[in-house]
Amino acid sequence: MKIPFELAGIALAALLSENFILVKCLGLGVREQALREPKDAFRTGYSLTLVMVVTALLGWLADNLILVRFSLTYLRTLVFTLLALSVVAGLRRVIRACLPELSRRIDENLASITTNCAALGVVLLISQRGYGLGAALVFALCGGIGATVVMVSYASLGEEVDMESCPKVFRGVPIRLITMGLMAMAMVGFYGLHLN
Amino acid sequence: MGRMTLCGIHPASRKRYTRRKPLVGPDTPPERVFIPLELCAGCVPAIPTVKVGERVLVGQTIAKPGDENGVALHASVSGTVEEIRDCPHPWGGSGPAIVIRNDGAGLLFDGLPDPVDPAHLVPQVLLDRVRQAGIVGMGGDAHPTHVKIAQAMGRVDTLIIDAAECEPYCTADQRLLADRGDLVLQGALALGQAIRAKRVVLAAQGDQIKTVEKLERWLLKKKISVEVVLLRSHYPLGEEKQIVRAITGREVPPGGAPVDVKCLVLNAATVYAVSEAMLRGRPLTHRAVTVSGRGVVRPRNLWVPIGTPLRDLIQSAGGMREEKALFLVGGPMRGVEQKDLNAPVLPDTNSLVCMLPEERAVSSPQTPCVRCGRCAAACPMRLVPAFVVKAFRLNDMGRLKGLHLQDCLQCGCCTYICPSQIPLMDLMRKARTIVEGGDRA
Amino acid sequence: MSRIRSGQLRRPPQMSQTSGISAIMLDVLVALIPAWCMAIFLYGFRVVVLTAVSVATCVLCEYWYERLMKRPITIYDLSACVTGLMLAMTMPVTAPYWAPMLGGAFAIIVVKQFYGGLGRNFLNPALAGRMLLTTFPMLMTNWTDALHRVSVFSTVDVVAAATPMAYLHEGVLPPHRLSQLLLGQQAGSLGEVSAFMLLLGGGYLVLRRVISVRIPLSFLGTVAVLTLLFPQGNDPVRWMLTQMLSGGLIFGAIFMATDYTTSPVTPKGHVLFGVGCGVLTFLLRQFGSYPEGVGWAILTMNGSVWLVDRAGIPRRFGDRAFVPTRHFLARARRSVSQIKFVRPQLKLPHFVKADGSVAGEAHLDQYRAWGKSCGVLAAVIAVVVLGLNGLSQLTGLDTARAELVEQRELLRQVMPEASYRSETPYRSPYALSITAGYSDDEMIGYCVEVQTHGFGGPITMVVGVDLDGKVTGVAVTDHSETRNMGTKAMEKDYLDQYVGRSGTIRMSGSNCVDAVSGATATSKAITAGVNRALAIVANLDPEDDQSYEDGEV
Repeated sequence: MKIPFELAGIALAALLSENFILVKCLGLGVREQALREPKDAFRTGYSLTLVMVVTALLGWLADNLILVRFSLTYLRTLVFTLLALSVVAGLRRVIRACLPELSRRIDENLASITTNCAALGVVLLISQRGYGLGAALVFALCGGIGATVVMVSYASLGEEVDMESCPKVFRGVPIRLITMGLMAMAMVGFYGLHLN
Repeated sequence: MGRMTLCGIHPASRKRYTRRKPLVGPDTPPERVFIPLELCAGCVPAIPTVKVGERVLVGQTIAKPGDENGVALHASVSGTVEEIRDCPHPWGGSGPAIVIRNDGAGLLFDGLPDPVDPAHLVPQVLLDRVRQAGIVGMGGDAHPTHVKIAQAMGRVDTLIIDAAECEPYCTADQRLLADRGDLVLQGALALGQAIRAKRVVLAAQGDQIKTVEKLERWLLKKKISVEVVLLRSHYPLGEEKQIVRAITGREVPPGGAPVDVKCLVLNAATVYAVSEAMLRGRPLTHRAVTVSGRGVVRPRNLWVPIGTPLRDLIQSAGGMREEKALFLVGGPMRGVEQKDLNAPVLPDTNSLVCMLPEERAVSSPQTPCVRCGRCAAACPMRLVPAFVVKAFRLNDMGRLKGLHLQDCLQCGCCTYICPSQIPLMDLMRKARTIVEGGDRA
Repeated sequence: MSRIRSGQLRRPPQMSQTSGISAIMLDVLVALIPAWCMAIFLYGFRVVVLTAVSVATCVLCEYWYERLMKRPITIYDLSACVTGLMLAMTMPVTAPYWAPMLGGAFAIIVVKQFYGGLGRNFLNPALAGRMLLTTFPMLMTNWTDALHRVSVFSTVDVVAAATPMAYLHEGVLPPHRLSQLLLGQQAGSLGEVSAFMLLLGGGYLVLRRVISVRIPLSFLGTVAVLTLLFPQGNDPVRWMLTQMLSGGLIFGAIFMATDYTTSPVTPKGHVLFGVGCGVLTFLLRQFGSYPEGVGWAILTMNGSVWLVDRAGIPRRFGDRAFVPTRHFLARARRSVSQIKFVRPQLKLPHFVKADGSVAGEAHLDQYRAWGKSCGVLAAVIAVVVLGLNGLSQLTGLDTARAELVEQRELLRQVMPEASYRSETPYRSPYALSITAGYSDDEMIGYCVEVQTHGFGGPITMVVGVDLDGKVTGVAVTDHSETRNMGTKAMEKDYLDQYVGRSGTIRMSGSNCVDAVSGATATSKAITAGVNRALAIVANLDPEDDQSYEDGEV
């Protein structure tokens, strides 16, 4: 009974109190176009989730089976970086070959995720915190879902809210950052949330 | 009492001006009556059967139907046919009409058909009588009643007689029920039997308690099984879809008609005309009109011949109090403004409201929409006008597609209730045009 | 041809409800007056000055911003006054005067005007201003008890008191009677203390049809149901009632959540919004770090109004239920079904092509280009790996030495008399590791590494317990507490308090430690960790698996 509870705690934390975009400020390195329309944002979000989960799985395996066993932990950052890049490249290749319709939809998004810090961040966090395999996968999946929710939310908010009414100095990127910041302020209350 | 909470608004009813005044004829008979050949835009005009200079009597046919969906027209006064020319129409514009000069005698035509025994009423006879009597929807839609009854024949289980006048100031149907209610009920029963409806309901609203009690006593005495239901008054209860939902709980599907949910809704005045046609053989020649508002000296309910110019109605109501009154046919919420008071009373004219500026809504400057949500709560068809306002503000017409604007009744509840004074009814109409234009394109 | 122009002379409705926006705002101000007067009675004249500062800031900010940006001046619709008053009502009476000024300026300029003014903001301005101030540590947590009138000019000699929410956050019922909570004899912010006056104001708003009961009822109802279902303590009804009457719940439900612009438009949306706020409030109050969750919950729901609006579109007149959902699912299903699996065609390198000719040189050029780029990449990686390896070898000794020093430092802090640590076969699900401390080949105690939940996240610490069950030392190895706030509870002077203790250490009463003011949550977390370590050592059984229950030893 304790294990599912622990996993639930990790999942809740990844979704709310340690949300990748709003709390940890990782994962926003996507094309600006992707955050303008909810459909695009959703696609970016689920491709990011896919990349995060695959990277977390492979990273966990690499970390526990190779790096720790042969005490090569100083190579962690390098290995994970290369891993994240190759996962994205590999996924793009595979999807283009096997699922052309899906590739048509998310290839651009995947391309912009190549250097996304959330993919690297998730595997670094997993290795730092020493999660087990189940916990690592849950963490990556819920982190990705949380990031997707925030991206879709932000894109929909951008459709409803008028970003052109601010002073000229703030138009464009500044007001968008302010909007994201206001959303993040709402999440401050969730810091330290835990199930006990 | 009303069965379920319906969306709508509760404007001041202002019916106290005329509620207790019984139906009377005009003080002086009209000099001329103008009987339009086209009852509504898009109808095929009726073909006159009388010539200029011919003498006619009350109830005599003066025009025959233009096509199988048309109705015959009858003289509402006795006199001479003066001319057939263009006359102003209460709905705006003008159309051909037969002008009869009244001789004041009011002599009845003797070639009227015999009364029918309601117990032996055959559906086809009913339809023929109704058509021959020139009966159209007298609650505002002016569509031929025989077509409506034919569509409903055998397909409905509830007949609803709509006496729920929801517009402020109007009391014509109320007084009709109070003064001549027994005939309405007799006609309703006969109709119900003819179309094989299981349930006949008379829907009244507001404070007509005394009338309803009187009718119920009469029904009990005669052992007639017509239900009388008194609904809590709100606007727009008189709309077909709303009253079907209030009485039976069924909702008419989008784009459909009450017959789709097995109901037939007829206005009380229409049913009265049907009774007169069947039980007395008289065609549609007169109707009840409320003349009200502070713009006339003596508001009252009048029983006038069809074709009487509106000017004569005002005279019978004591004359205009002030020149700058606004004249509306149909009520303050959905009425049509009358610029030319020579327009005649039509079968669907149930009221003439003369509003002085102090009775009308004060037009305040428009403020931005604050998303208070009152329009969504008030809309009887469950639309959300605030989203339409946003679509226009963001200039994003793609949003209008999912808002099902074809359901809009143009009732005006949203404009009534908006605290920011946004002209929502006009916006909804414009949006609907855009959506329908886009669909067609 | 018909010349009837049907409907062109249709006029808009000639009757209308005559209330404008300023009339509605005036109603809100009137509704807040009973609670405001009660606050003056409870806390003194400072309330009036605080409110005046707040309202003046908001109105002036709006006026100057609109002057500067050459926009129409809209201060006469009274919305800035309402924002100012609501912001003031959420302050504690001891707030410094610059706090509502900062909050008001932020609320009006950034949250409201930057997005277009009245009707266009997506967060409640007063609430956002208040929450900004909450993120300043220690600014908004200086509470005084009711009927202690605070001076207008300085708040130095104020007696601090605990709010009922602080008690509830611990899981105990506050000592106030329910009638005291209802009338306002409790510590709290100006507007939230007197539930009775707030309900009066709410009733006025409902009667005047300014707000509908949907949001307050669904919000309060959800919190009531959830607190009734998951009470702490023996009396569920008392727990629920206390939760309802404490904190900013009633104020938030009646005045903040019902703000027109930031709540959904449709009736169904109102109910969903209220339920969502209630669930989040319950979650935050029960499991969160801050004692108060209403503000955060409402802000989060404000950010999701775009979704609630869409979910709350009423069922079309005449349609069956869930028609839009069905359409959406059908569209999604169609979209997903378009993605089909295609057998990949592997292109192996052919040296002899299908039509019999041999592959030309261009083929080989392509390989050469690939080889070159791969080679470069491999070379770079090899160099980096070699470099890292070399570095780690070079510094390996230093790293090992530094680690050794660190371990020794840790041991000195945790168990000063031990000279080295070694592994034990004991495992506990509640400790990260259990090692034994030795001094001259004799075991003198255990070092237990535990993890507890602090204010900003987990705190990892090592606790040394000697064989008599007394604490020998505490060291914190990892945390995410606020610098200069929570970290005050990790200084040596504070951690030395634990040395020599045994049994269960409490925060007050017998066997207690003093919490650091401003770092209560962190102190509590460290105390909990020490208690856990003590309990684990006390229950160490060489044969069994460890089982441990929070509680007394």
